[in-house]
Amino acid sequence: MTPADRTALPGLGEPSPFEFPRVATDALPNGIRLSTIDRPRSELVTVLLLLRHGSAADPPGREGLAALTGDLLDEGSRERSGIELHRALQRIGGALATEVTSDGTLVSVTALARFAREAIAHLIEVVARPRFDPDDVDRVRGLRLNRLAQMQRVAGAVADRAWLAALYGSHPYAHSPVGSASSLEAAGAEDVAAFHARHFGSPGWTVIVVGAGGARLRALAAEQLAAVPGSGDGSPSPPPPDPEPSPRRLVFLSRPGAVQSEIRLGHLGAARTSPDYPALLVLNMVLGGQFVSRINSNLRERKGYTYGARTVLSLRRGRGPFLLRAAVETSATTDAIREAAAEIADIGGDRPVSAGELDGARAALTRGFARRFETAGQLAAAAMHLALFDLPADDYRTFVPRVAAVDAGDVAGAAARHLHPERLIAVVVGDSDRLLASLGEAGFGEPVEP
Amino acid sequence: MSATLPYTKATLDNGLDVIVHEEHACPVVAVNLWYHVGSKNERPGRTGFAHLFEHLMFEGSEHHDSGYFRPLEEAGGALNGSTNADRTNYWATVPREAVERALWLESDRMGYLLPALSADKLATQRDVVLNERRQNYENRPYGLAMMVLAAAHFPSPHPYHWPTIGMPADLHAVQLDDVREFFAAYYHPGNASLAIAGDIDTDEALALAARYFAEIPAGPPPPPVAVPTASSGASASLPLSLCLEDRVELARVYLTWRTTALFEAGDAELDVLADLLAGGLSSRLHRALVRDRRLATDVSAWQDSREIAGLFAISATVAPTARAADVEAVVEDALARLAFEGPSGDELARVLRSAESAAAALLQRVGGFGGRSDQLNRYNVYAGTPGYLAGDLARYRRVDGNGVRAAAARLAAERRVALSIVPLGSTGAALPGAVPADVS
Repeated sequence: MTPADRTALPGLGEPSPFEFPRVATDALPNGIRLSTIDRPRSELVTVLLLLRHGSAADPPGREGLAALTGDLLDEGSRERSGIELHRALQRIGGALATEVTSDGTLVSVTALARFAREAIAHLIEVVARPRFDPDDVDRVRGLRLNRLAQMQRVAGAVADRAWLAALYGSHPYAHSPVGSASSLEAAGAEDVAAFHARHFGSPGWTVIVVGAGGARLRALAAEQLAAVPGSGDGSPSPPPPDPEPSPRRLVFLSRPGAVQSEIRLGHLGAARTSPDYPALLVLNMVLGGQFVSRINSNLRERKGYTYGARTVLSLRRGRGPFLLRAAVETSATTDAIREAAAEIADIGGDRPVSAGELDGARAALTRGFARRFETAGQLAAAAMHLALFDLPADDYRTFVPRVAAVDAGDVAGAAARHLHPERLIAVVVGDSDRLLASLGEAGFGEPVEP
Repeated sequence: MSATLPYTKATLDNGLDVIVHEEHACPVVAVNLWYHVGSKNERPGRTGFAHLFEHLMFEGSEHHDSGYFRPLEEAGGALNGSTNADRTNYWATVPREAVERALWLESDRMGYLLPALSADKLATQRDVVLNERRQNYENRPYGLAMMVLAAAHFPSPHPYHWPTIGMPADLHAVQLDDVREFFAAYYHPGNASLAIAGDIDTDEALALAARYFAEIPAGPPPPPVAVPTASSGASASLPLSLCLEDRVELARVYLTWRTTALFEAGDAELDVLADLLAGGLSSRLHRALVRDRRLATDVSAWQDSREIAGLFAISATVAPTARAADVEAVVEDALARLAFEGPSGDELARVLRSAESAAAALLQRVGGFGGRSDQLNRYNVYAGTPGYLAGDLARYRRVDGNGVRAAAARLAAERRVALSIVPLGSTGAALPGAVPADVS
């Protein structure tokens, strides 16, 4: 046996080949788009349905309606009550999940593989034929109002909501999917039924089935889906327009006695369809997208201010946020904001991405690509993104070479086009007694109210 | 058909267990290492140490004295670690070509951590941990609940008395010598279990494990954990009803019982009982509290079974128009009914089917928390063999209505700890008779 050589870390050699599994897609006569992915020997099957209408499609004054509608899908169908429906799901080892994002509504059932037929049937049942009983609408809306009230006590949630509102104003991306108390209170059973009638027609469905025996699953799904009556034109909600520019400032919300400050810092980012997409991924990895990023290395590993700091590029159909999130100890708040803002400015200025950082970030993305697709749910979500963003069918198969081709010039260009230190908006939720005297020194002028 | 987890196990001369599981579906390998040490191995006045130590394990070792994350993130890996009362685990999920690097790094911090340790690293990571405590416990609504409940159920010096995250004063008091002693006592091959799972041949994995870990000297058997007998502990002061004011909008009540340890007789029945009570929208308590009478906005139940003992909990957030006592009455009624009549056959079958599916969902991944490599180590450390999956699943298949009824009956009869977490200044929202909890 060769003993361990501890003079240097083992090299990596050539990347292991990985081919994203084939996504078989076609359109059924009633307009439903069906994709299947074979996952050999899978003990579970995941069936996911995408509608390209999310919280950005909430009618003004009814913010929260898309999410309320999604939440009500499992409260019973025309043929059985919510309790009976959930019992049926349990009998197939089924978990039903609904997620409403700004651009889409995702409904999925993951179940034991031997119950694939039932999983598909239950998904169709909840999406096509929900009951929307007024009593259920009243109860579920009440629960969401209570959740909103509780979120007012969660410092991170308060910061997220305030930051979105500060950046987007009255834009469709300004509210989080849950909406606000007044808009939810205004939403009734008739609004839910109208939202469903307008946006849930089967020509707009994209259905993805992932499991063992792709061809058999495809036949099972096609047979059941073909029987769904078509209605509506199936066109997605259009990507929202760019919002009005919002000035650089620091918005402060008081949380008396808080032992940490929740910080949000960022500005308008790019859309998923931006040609800079691969360069933006690389840039974000270096800046704040992973543990060894500049911002986490600075705020956590050098200063110990926080348990962790991350930046996200929320890539949407329209221009989503570029946002840093961190919870820092109260006494470090002003310094943490200064440091983070400087990192964002420097990467597009005095300290551009180095050759080593570029190599590391590209490798993290390319060599780390395969592990993103281990589970049926991960594969289904990947296929969903193709449909949500109208991406080419081979997008995942070309990902690695596209990222590997990103060079220093591409990253510098992406930083110049997409990072705007002069437009940063900061939100701080923290203890006013200990913060207000110093926040003016963070470089954003005097703090303002939301 | 049910989940299987084939493996090969070898034990190196220094005592390290090596477990290999082949799964070639994706070109990814998981490296997962458990040290059989957690906060139960600490002592009063020195709490939070096992977890702080976990942080230091990412700060570099003798032959790679810089951050542990960079060489693995740059190789396309994902990695993390966690500490609980019983064990500390470390995992990295890497592309196939990086498995040797992952083993090099993991073995270097097992064999050669101390030469790279410094007071600066300790001070910074202590601050990071204090921030973790602020973020996940102190500044989070209801974040102190489980600390209060564990302290009440397991009076000092029971090793489950203190929280794994530790007491701030203790964290401030940590010295470098404490770190060195702790490392020598617990971080050695005989107190560890290594699992390698994924796109790798068994022979190659065993050879790589031997190349990097065999040179590390065997360590001393860890000192035994002193566990007070149950009768000398909490039960004398129970039942107990506590109240804690917090920055919350709605009151939440917790009803909790000290129960059986992991894999002991009765543990599976309590898992099933938790699902019958509050697993999903058709569960008994969700229907009664949230759907029908609208007394609560949510309800959960769980059996947290650990190595020495378990804790069964039911928690419900009280609706604005309801009273905590009404919620408590519904919970007691549901327990009494289950203790009297047991679950229906269909109800039990549905819950067991859900459990089968949840187990399969965890095993979809080779790595990460709860993935195949983590489960192999969990079985190896707690059940004595990595091959306990079949036995584990069989425990649930053996659960019948009588067993669930008996489990419910025991809870209904036993003395418990209740906790009401209420909005600041609203102690009247607590369960009647609750006394202030001591949070130090």
